[in-house]
Amino acid sequence: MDQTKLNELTSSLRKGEKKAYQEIYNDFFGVMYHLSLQYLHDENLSEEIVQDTFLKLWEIRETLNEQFNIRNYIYTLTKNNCLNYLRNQKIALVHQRNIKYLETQYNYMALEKLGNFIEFEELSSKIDQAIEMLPDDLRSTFILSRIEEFHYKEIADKQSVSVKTIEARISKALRILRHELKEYIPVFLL
Amino acid sequence: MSEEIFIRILNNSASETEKYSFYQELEVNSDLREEFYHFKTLHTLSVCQNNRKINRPNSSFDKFWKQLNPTKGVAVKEMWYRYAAIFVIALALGFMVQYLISDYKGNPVYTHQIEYTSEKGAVSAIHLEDGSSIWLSSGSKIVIIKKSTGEMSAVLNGEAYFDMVPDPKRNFVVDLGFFKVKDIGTKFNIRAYHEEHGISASLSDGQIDFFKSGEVPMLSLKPGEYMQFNKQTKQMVVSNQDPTIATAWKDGKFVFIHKTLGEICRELESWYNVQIIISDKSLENTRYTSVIKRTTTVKLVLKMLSLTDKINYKITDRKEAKDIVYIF
Repeated sequence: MDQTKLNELTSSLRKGEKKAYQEIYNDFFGVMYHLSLQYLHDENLSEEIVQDTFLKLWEIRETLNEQFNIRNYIYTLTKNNCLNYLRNQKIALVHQRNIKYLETQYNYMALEKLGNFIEFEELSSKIDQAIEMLPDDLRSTFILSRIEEFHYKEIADKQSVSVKTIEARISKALRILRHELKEYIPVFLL
Repeated sequence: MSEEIFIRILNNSASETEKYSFYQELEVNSDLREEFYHFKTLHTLSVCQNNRKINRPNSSFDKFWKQLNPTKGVAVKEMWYRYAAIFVIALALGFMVQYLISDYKGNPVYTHQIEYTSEKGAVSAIHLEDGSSIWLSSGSKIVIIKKSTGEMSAVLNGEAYFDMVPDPKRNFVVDLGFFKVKDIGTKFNIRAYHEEHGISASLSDGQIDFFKSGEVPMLSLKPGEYMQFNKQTKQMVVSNQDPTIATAWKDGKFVFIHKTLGEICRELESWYNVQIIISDKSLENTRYTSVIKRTTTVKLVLKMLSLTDKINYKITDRKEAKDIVYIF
């Protein structure tokens, strides 16, 4: 969706047009849902958080002006909502210091480092190009592994290799991507 | 730290023990931490990127909208009428009638305009007053405009088979944007989907003329001839082809003549109302020629295609949305 189209949608949404709202929802809901799912590992919760974001957007529709970047708003709000959730979860678990606590802690840190909307968009567009450049076997395995419905076992069966090979390919693919995209990954302060 | 555990952590399929050893190590190993943040970011963004390519079903929004606006959920009913026509496959046909008045040398000319739509997964038949018939393929739309002066024209987006009764008084023209097709009592097939790169026409009987403008035809087609027009190069190529192949769709068959898997999948999508994702881009341009009964299931069609070449498929059922078919 290009900028002109987004501007049109913004002004239609300000007038409270359901169709524009629906288009924005269909355009960005899935991406935000999967983003949340990667850090929260909970489908219902992820859906709730993203729906909440869209609800907020609807509530503030009358205040939107032309400079308003809807996607930026949705991204930022969703990310913050996820961070809030993880922070609360972390506090609740702090005395136990179990695996769940550590997992929450590192997911929180990783999400915090995900960067702002502009970095997110830039890296997203670079990723496709980098995936295209991967060697054939790595690329096909990697793309399949991005589709949630596929388990590694299934990919392994289809490609007639072992699950271990699949995992090794994905790990290798990630390493190559990391190398290729280094300058686009936000700089992390450790 | 084994690579596999790392991948399982990202994929959320690690066991509790694996998680334990992984996060314990993260606590003490700062290089691993940095790697984890990078990989997590790349993993997440590539999953999101993949999801951008999947259309979201409207039903998901509808449900959300209902929760948001429980009282405003009533949509304005559109003025669509449906009737069933006698035909081979399941039929659904929507049409709209409009009366327009236009001026012609001061005298009012009555224009009668009817719009027919053949829904996805259906072939519809339209029977005209003079005994002519028009078959409309899945997902096609045709607007037929009749003037009180006897002229008749049609605007087509999609594929249609015309069986026109000869009538010297009637002047029937199909407008395809790039050019017009004039019929003189014939049987012919036209395929002109807006989203496709070409337009094709084939003739079973009689004669059709192609016009750009004015009265002099650019090209005439004889029975058994097949015309392909490329929208980009604006070139017309005529070849000989059995006309029954181009019209097999109206007898409930899929016809693919030297089509790429990408093109075939777009047709299957529209016919079976599924979403097809080809994960391996190199497969997209493999070409197939086949005639397949439409009444079979999408599964069988895929099975046939997978017999002839190295394609695999997986169908994911979704309750409230179109099923997704992955080809890899």
